[in-house]
Amino acid sequence: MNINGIEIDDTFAEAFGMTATRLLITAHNKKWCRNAAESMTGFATSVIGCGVEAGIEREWSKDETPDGRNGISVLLFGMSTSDLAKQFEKRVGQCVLTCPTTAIFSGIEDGKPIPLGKRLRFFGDGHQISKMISGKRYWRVPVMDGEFLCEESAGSCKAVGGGNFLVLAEKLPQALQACEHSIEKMRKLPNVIMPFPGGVVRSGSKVGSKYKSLIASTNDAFCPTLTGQVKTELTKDIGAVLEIVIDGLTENDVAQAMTVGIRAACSGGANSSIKKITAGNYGGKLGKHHFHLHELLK
Amino acid sequence: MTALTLTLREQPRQTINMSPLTPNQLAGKSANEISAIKFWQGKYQHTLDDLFEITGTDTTKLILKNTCNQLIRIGAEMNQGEIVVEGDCGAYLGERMCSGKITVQGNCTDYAACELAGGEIEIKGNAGDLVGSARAGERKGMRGGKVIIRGNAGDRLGDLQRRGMILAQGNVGDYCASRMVAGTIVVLGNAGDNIGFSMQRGTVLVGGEPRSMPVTFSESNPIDLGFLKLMGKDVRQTDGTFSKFNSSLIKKRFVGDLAFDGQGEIIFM
Repeated sequence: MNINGIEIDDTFAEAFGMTATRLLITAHNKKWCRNAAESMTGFATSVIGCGVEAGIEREWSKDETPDGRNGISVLLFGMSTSDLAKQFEKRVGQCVLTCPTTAIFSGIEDGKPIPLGKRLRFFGDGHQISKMISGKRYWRVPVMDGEFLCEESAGSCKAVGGGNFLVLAEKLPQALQACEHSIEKMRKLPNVIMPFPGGVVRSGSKVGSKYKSLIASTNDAFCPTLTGQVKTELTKDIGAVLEIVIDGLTENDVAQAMTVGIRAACSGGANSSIKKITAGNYGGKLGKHHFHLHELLK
Repeated sequence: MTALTLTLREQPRQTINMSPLTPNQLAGKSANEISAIKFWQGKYQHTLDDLFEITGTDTTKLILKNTCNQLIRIGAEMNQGEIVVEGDCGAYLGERMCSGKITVQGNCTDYAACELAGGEIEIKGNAGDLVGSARAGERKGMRGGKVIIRGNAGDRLGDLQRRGMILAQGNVGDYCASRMVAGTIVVLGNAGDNIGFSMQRGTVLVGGEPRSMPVTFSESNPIDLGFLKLMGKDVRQTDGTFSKFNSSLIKKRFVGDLAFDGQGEIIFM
């Protein structure tokens, strides 16, 4: 199979079950929404090292937010609700509570509740005020710019993490350009994030290492510098490989994002120096969600 | 099926305890069983059929006609369905009600919505004293639900209130939100003297002119309160004058009662 002359490998991406939530941050203007959201979703590329995978989902207009101000929603993915709860307390407490003018609301109604204001309220040192409004409990925590308004808890849902595809190119600049184009298109989709810097990862990993203390190490089969030294998946014309990892609220969201992303990466055609699109998997033994590239793109 | 409709045959001299007539207690009862329900009026006992003309069979909705303020405890401990009172009613309207809706077309006397736990009570006329309070001797007032008063309300509105919301379209009497523990009161008109007396927590929004406050309240610095936008949206969902409620302009904000924890707030809009 090929798209615009670019080969699509007959393989599949292997993804895992995760737990996710959506938080809506509002602030005085878009600038302060983004300051809080970027801070909160920083250092959140992988659950392995960061405890959570997080990213900005989209901007919300004043008409859409509960308090009529500009908003940004962020999605957080963890291995369990208790993992998410630990991250909530730290990230909302350090990055949103501290950010001028912000308020935070749950962006998912149902599912197992994760404490939000329920714990953060104690920062109010007894001066915090609870308010039930339209059946939801909010906490008003006094801070130096007025009040930090925070919903008591956020809902959560089952989600899918680790959808992916790899872009194989002759040259790094072209691989980067194709990935940037993919990310631009994928960021327009709801319910998904691409948690790595700029949405792209260069250090794809394989399970295990020669060093016993490491659970993952470099994906040597896709490293151009190791061709000739190890068993490689690369043909002689490949000089750079970049990966895009996708977390989504449902399997369908991940599938849609992969489809849009791959099509965007291939939009430059065979002359763009992109040679092949493939995907990462572990033989189908670790993750229950399999995204076969040929099925997605048919 | 048409709603179960009870029309009072004649104005009673003594009060009648209407608490057996709630949709939850009438559910599953036959027409004969309903008409045989007994009520005390003074030292005499009567059946429902003696006191009211009965029509309709749907017990999920109860309509009371030709009513007066001798009918007390209407909707007490109700937990489902709807009651419509086409006239005035007596004390303890919706006492300890958990769910459902009561609408009173006329006025009601004291202790309406006392110890209310849930559901909605709408009084289209005026309400007496102690709306949303605790019964005498009890320590916990209203702890959930919503009360809408289209007219004026008497003294001690929200006394010992712990949760829930009271909306008063007109003026309210003295000692509004006295001993309030938490919850929200919105008064579009003026409030009487000693508002917030012994108040621990909770929020009172007053649309009328700011007035002198008890000495144990302090005026706080002007700030933009984000929760008011949400609260305003919630209040505007109630039709009538409430649908035009403007929560964006704060004239004055007082905090207190500093003699009792002092975490309450009274905001003049």
